[in-house]
Amino acid sequence: MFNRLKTHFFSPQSIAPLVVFRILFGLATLISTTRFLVLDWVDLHFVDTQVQFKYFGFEWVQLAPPVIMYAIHYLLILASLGIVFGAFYRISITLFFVLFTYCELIDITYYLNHYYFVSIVAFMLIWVPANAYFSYDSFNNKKWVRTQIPAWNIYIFKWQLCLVYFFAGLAKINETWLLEALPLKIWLPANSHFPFIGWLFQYPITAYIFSWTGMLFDLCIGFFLFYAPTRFYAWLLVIIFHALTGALFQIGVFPLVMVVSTLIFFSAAFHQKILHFLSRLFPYPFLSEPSTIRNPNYPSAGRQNLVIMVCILWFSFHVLFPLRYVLYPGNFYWTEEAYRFGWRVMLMEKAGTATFYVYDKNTQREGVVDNTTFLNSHQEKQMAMQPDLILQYAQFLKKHYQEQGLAVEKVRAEVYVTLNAKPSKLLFNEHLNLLAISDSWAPKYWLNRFEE
Amino acid sequence: MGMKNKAVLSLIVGLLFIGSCKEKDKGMDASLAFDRGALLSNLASGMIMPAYDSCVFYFASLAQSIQQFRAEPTVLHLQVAQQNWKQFARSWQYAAAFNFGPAAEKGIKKTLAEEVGSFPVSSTKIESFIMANDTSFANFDRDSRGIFAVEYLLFGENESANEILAKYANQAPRFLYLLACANHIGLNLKLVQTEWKTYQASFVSSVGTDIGSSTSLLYNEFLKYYEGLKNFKFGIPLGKRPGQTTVLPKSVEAYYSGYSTQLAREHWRCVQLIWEGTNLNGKSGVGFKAYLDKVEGGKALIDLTLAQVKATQNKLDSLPASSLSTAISNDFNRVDEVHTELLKLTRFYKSDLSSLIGIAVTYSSGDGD
Repeated sequence: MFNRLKTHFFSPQSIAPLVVFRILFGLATLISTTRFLVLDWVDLHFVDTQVQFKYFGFEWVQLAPPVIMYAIHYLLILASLGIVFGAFYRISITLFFVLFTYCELIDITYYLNHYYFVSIVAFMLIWVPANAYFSYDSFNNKKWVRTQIPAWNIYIFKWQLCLVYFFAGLAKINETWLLEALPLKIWLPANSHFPFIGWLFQYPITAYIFSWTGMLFDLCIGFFLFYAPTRFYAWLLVIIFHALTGALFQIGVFPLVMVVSTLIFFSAAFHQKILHFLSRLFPYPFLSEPSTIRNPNYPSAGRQNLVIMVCILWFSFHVLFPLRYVLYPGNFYWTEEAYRFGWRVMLMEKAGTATFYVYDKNTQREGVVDNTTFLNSHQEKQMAMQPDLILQYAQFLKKHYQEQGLAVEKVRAEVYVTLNAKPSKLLFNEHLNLLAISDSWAPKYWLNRFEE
Repeated sequence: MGMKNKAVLSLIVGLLFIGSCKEKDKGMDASLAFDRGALLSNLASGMIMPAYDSCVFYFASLAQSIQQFRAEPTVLHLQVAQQNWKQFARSWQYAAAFNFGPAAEKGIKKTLAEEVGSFPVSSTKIESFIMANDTSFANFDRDSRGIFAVEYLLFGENESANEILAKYANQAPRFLYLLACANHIGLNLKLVQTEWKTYQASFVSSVGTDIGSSTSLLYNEFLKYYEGLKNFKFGIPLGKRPGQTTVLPKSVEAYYSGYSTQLAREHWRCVQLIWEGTNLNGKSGVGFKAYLDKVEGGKALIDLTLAQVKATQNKLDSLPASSLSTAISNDFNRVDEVHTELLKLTRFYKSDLSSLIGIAVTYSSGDGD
């Protein structure tokens, strides 16, 4: 079994799919970072901010001064170019991974599944020789040139993509999504002005069709992409599906990332054609195809075993981590325990109104906080429905008002949350002293149970 | 499997095709979909433009009476100006709800409500600008001008008409400052009113729900306007902010005229009109309520909202006839109860409403699929 896996892992394969993947990934991050700068989001997310909500375990990640935050984004552009051209590749991709992940870790309210995906893929790209062909590096150092590489270098990206889709599909198999067609029954009519098909969105049946199609698409698309005879049609579906959701919903560069990433499933010959086309389009010497075919360096048996073990560990983690929700009692849409890092995308319509009260022991007065003093609308929206962020905000308020000279003894909050168009309910008892609760992996028994 | 894919593909292509064909002859099914265009045009023509028109109209009377007062500084002319200020301040409550589009920030100019509607004003700053004979407004002290600066200059602080008059005697700079404040208000109002005439068409035709769409602008400002009533007209004067150690009755809107209770009632009424879609002239029309009526879970939210509106209305109705500042000092609990009910009402306008109608409240990308 292990030996068969080994043969499979280290059978030589054309490097072309990986090279095209590298180029497209670099272009996508280039577009994403440029978009970020053009929209002035560096300012909005990282400069004009008073509170940063932290990831559990990453509380030590601090916001850098504005100059550095801008510098980081220009470096991300440089690193992206390095990835595209395979120039100083290891440095570029490592730099990209570190800086991008750092930016993501600063404030959890900006968490997006596809940013997590970009981080993961960037990390994986550090360990593969994506610059061994059709790159500045391989042109400058001919002994690095490879036209063939061990198969695992390409497989891991396919598997990771399959996991994303499959878990996204799995998450859609639930009563609300399939039997009530929620939240699409809310989101589609809000798009009734959409060109050509907008009028269809007023009918509940459309929401049902979209819900079921979406679930089946996510669940199956990975397999259809793997299977050669269905691959092309599957990829057309990927384009249609992401183009449609991208046009309907405010989801940024996500559709682009998925459409270009899934090209990796195509054959080596197909990717070779792309590279051939590119080298004709840009007739620079370092983009020319080498005349000799070079086989992969076969690593020692020990290193082969190591690669396989690391891959097994990596994918075990990525299969198990999204599944951790089974360990928690209650409705995780409501508690959001194990909700993040689980490829649960566009799955629920949830919003809250959170009113915080700060009790000052000195004056024995309780004040009502105006959240807009401290948070922007995005942060407030995210905080008001996520229990862990509510705890963090309570701690922030304590610190802030203590600096103002108050003896803050208690911070409590009245948080009403509406989930999938159900009347809003109290997320937890409004008399709880939030300062007495600390966040952990343990189930949040202080939350009210979600009742239909 | 290839067949299956082809089938799904042709189904989607087919849907797209049907969609593009049918749109022309079919259009919207009135019984099912909510027509945001109807809400926008109702609000624009029945509420927003009339609100600015009436504001400009009452401003003209105020400006005229100020001129008269200046020409002949008598108690009678002062009282006429005071009355006209009250009328104008009432009409302002309605215009203030639509602090977007032509009223939005432009360069260093803040929104209309911030430029002319800031309160409480600083009597110290106003007096020192008068002393310096400085009517340039070339500063960021927005609490030294606008509607409530005019109020201070016309009503004084706990002063009789004769005492106020005495302050103007042989005081050209005081008159000049009063006139400058009035001009500044008139100019800004007129600009927004005029711009709405051309903005109206694009406002009504932007029927999306994403950030920057008319529905989103209208809704987000509606919410801010509501929060303004709760936080600034009740919360701060009641001493509700953390760190406030005492009530601040002088922080109410319209402290000097003692007209705060009436203005708060108008503010509240305007919130209701927008939600219901009722026009300024009382004619019923399409508002957020009609919108809710057409969406998933909307009917339940209408009932919940109306119940809490009624509870709030009851508390507002039982406020004493005095000004809010007096009521806060003498009858704290009755004012506090209004604030409590307003707090309870917040979620029905905030997260519940925006969630059900799918309006963007934030610029950022959401989670993709």
